[in-house]
Amino acid sequence: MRKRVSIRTVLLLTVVGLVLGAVLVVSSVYSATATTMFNQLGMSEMLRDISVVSERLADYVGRVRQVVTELAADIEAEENFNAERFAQNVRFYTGSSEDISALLLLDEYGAPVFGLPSSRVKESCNLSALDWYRAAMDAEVGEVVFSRPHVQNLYSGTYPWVISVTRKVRYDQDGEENIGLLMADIRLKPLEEICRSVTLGSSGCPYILGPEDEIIFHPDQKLLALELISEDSIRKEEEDGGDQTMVLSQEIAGTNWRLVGAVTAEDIARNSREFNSRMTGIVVGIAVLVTAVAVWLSMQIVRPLTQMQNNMQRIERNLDDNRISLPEEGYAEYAALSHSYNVMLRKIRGLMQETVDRQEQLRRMEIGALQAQINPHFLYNTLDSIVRVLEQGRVPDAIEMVQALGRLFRLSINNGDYFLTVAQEMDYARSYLTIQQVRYKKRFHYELHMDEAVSAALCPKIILQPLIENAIKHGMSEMPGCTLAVRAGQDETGRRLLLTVEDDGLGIPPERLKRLQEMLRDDSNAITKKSGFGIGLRNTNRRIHLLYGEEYGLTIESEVEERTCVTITLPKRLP
Amino acid sequence: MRHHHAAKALALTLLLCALLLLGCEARETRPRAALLLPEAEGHHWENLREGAEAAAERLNVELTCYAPDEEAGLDAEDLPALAQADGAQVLIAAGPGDRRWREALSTVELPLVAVGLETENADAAVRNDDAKMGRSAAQALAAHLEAGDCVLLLTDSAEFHPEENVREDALRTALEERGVTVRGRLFSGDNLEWAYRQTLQQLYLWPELDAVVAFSAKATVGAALAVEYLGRDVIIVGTDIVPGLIACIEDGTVDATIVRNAFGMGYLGVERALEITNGADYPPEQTLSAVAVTRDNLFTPEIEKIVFSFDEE
Repeated sequence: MRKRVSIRTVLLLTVVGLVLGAVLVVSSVYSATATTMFNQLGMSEMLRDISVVSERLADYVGRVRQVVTELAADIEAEENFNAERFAQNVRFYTGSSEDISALLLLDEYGAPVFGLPSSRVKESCNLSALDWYRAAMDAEVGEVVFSRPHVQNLYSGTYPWVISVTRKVRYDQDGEENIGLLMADIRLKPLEEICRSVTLGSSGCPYILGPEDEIIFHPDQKLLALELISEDSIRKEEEDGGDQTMVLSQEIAGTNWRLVGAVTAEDIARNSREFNSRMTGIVVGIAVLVTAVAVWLSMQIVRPLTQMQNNMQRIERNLDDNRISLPEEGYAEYAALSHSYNVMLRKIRGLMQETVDRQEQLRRMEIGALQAQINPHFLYNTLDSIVRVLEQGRVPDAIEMVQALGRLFRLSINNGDYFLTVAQEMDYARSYLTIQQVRYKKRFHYELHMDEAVSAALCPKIILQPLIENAIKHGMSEMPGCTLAVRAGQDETGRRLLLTVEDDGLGIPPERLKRLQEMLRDDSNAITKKSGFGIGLRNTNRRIHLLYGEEYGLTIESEVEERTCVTITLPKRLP
Repeated sequence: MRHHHAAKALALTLLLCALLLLGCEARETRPRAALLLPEAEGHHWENLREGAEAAAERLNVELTCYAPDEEAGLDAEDLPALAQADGAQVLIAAGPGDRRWREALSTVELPLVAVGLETENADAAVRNDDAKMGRSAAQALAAHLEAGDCVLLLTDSAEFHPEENVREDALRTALEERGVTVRGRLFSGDNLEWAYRQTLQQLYLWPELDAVVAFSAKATVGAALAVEYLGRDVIIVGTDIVPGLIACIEDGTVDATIVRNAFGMGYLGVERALEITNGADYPPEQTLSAVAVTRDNLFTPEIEKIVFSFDEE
């Protein structure tokens, strides 16, 4: 047997497939759009960050440069350098700003002419050995020079990392023209803070490169200094970037520095990756939820069906157990279905019971017929009559009775067939009447009439005998000279067989006739048992009902002291 | 009953969804490493710890530092078990350390990275080139000493430390080759006061003392103060660097100091720990060199980057 697909599977696959398909399509489109949008947004944010940091750095360095330029101009405009006035100018330009950590005017030999804060300036420093000092002194007068980051050792007890902004100046002092170096130190820390104010991907913040690509500031400058990470890797990253890295570079206005930020494709895609990861989680969550709901839904639908199926199988195995039926509960449709099934089940059980009853009845009829065939009383009485006839010397009558008895037995056996032809049944009736006439000393007459059109039709065997027996016993035994007529014919349509037993005996009183007719209409056992008479008629009538249905059977007509006629109506059936 | 099952199924589903979403939200688990320091204070340990923390931040490692705590009754020997109990996946043990420190580390069941420490059961080692340090110190002295001169040695550790012993042996060997002898060997630790007093005492006892070699930064400063106090012309070569020592080098009181890369050792220790945890290939041994810092090279770009902190204090 081909394995069939279950409702649960179809329902599950349909619901899950439809919902997941829709979710996947929507989420894919949404994810692709969001990825592009996030990447563009990420790039533009990073460009904006670089631009903002660059502007802030330019602003910061520009202020220092402006201070140096203004102070240098003041120094050069002075006819005689005056430290006190210079200090006032410094305070005027710098104010409360902490942009400049130190400010010095050095003579051409590197000795401090003026220092701020003056108290901490060392008296002597060997500046000529230092690269930044030599580079500043090599520049033209008026040129502003930014040093590389270096440790400032001009002050006692402190060694900060600074960038010195220098300008070579000419100044007059005590009537002599001198060459000096005006120097303002920018601390690295503010630069670092500005750079660290933005975050570029996972690499950290942007870094600053000088004119010769020397590192001015880098978030990992200590690691670089200790060679824990390679400077080459930064250079390489900056130069080619590779497929996975994008280098953003922007000049810092007013300096010869540039701000560099390296971001990887992974950094740019981080937001979209997080979004996609979350989206995947949601899709998987929905998948699990939808699957669970679909399972639950299919269970809700299929489980009652399965239970119903199991109950039906149980009922099928125990069909005759009236206690088992489908529970009429759950959803309305299932309850209605169960109810209909139960109604059908009850009808089936009724029909089955009826069939069983009918079979039982038939069996009883069979037994009754057999009993009638071999009724020992009848046999005893017949044999007794034969003996009496012989004793009386009426040998021909005895012979006739024996022959009649023989025919009765032969026809009643009839090779085990339940049906006789009408001709055989009439022959049986004749034999029976022959015997009864002898027994009743010919106190009645009888006549048999058979329409040849029905002689070959079939009828239940020995169906006339109970009626004849009743007629003799109740109608004619007390009234000598009566006539019993047995007829076999058909109705005007030719479809029905009519067998009548009519006598002109005592007749049946109206009340009794009425009860008999009621009994024949409703041939239940209760009436029979209650009434206590007409058992032969009832059994015959019931036998016909069981064989042919309610439309066939016995009818009885009677008039007191006139006649009684019992008609058997049967379907005309030929062998 | 049917509703009961359905409710359970629904609850389970919602739980799964919640777990799934939480899983999506959850960050990647970071490797857990423990840095074990045998001493709570000291310039060397601070630098080493700083390097380890820098590496942990850069390499995304969850690093916990453990050091002895007298007030809490926590000895160095207790640290490995404590770190293990706290769920560390790999231990980074710093040195030099004494015998008890090594014994405590010999029983650990976790992967071990030895940093500046000689121990047999380490899975990886980041070493300081102590022999080269000794030779560098001798070389710094050599320019100023002649055969027959004598040197005072101020050691950093009271007990036997193989690492310091290697350094001392190399120093002695190099000095002996030049006919210079180590006349005295005193424990001063990383303590300015002790070093000052001991140097002062030795200078009184041995007026002919020509040089002092100190195996710690603060001891070097202490020795320099003692020499300056007495106004003696004694060569001083120190180890490592602290702000006070920079001034001593700048003004010429200390002729040189041999600076270890403690920051680098801490950094590389965490890097090895991460590689071990990730099952990556790693060098089982790595040796870092020390640099000699003198007045002449103190403000050169190469030395500036090593000696002076970028962090403003």
